Amino acid sequence: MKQLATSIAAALLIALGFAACSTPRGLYESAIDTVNQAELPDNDDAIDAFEDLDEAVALAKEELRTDEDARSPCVHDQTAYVIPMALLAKARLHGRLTQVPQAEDACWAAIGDAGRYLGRYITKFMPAGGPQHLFANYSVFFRREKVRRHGFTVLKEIYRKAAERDLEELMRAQIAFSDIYLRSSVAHDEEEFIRLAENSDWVRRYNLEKEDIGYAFQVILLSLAMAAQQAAYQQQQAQLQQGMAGADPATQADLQAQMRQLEMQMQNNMQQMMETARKIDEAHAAAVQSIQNQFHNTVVGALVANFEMLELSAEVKNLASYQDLQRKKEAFDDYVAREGFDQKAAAALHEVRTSLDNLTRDLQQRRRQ
Amino acid sequence: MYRLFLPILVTCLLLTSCAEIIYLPPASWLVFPIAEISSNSIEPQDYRKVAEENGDLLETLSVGVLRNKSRKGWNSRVEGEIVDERIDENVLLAEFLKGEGIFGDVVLIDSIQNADQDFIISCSVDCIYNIELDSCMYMMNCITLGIGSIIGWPHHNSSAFYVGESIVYDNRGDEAAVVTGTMAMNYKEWYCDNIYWRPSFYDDYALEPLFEQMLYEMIINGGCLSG
Repeated sequence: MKQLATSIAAALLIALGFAACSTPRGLYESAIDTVNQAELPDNDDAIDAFEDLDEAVALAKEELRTDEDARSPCVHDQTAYVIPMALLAKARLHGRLTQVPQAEDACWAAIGDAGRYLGRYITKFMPAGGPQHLFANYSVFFRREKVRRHGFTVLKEIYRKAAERDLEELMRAQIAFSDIYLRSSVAHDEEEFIRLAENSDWVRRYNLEKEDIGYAFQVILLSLAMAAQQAAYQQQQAQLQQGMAGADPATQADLQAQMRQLEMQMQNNMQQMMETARKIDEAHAAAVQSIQNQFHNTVVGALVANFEMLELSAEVKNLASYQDLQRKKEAFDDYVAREGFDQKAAAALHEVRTSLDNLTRDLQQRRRQ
Repeated sequence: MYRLFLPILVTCLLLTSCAEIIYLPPASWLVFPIAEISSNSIEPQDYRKVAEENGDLLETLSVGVLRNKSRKGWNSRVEGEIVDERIDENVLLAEFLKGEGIFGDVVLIDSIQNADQDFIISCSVDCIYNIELDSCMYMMNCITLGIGSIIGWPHHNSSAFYVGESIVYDNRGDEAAVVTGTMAMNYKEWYCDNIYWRPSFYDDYALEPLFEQMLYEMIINGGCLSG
């Protein structure tokens, strides 16, 4: 008996361990031990670690494609981050095994995938009915830039060990470029706004769930009250009917009148309860709508604030396309302040975004001349 | 009616306790609402043994922690309300390094130019956090007319996903500083957060596993042991 219990416990532990390891994060975490270990890993360990990291990347991509939860803003980048992290771990392991070209490929793949997957949930934020892919090109630069900086740090270490002076110098320049951006107030503000947008998603889920539970309680209480009233009515009706049997005509008429009054009272009560139920339904629908509106306004506010971070020179501010951008942004702000966020506001926001693209192209063209 | 109140309350309390035992790790329900219980997904590498073996060498080194100037007054807000006071993680890293007592001197610096420390370290932590409602516990707290909440039965589940990146500059040579660093990931879950206690996602306790990993990488790969 004791053996059986031990076996069951062991099987459960193995199953739990297996379940934890088969997630992208679990696979990454099991492989990173090999990457970090003090001694040089042997061939079998290295092959296992590479397999785990490849599987972590594949599983994370699959989750982002198919899993509804992984697409939510407050979860998306937790899954998406595993992809570049696993590729950077691969680069480090290749570096330890002095496989320089493979390490370079893994670093470039990490930088590329960070651009493809990190922050992509921004495009899913927009309310239904609005223009699609409003922020298709929007970037969560600070996360991508961190991956980029670390990729070049890994390569720099590899080049230092391989005595590749030129490449080491180039890597130093790349790291310095990323440093300038990541230390700037622009990156700092961007991080704050993105966090605001991510937080608004879990706040929405949390409030909706609370609202649903509160609504369910009210409905249950109302149903119980209605059932109790119905039972009391039936009891009173039965008593009146009992009293009518064998009673004189005057008493019967009196009881009949009482019965009619009881029926009317019951109907009134039921009507009041139906009215209360309707009010509860309306209040619930309004609360849900308000939670959704608050979410959209926070998200849109956070995204629009990114435009306000632009620190441009006087030369750019004199361009016609910059004036156009300012006009569109002011019109959008006014509309949202008056009407809230709706389909028209989504279209106006899309115009702001297009104006920003025009300004970018305009400036690029001027620099080439 | 008052005769019914006590049995109903006792039943509700029993039900709540059962739900809690099922939903929470064993023994955690014994210590609510005052204890902070959390789990980390990473187990940082142990640098203490290496640090002890090379204590004399490491004690001669000075480390500058580069402050992030843009992080002043940066707090986390939810629906306009500040939920977390967030200070620069480099300040916390400097405190952590001082607390470990491995290096001879640890100072906070504002700029890498003209810094005369042997090593300069700078980190940035990205945290994506999530607070979920535990519907079952919340319902139980509603059934007990809020008594469960007042006693401290938790109906929140908090988790945070961290990615910490550090850059280490070896500042001892005459040429351009040698750069190394690490990128570490941690997934942290908290239990027993209730109306009296909420986890702080950005304090030194939450960031410690990342700091430990950064310190390990700095000692092993940063050239601290090369004299």
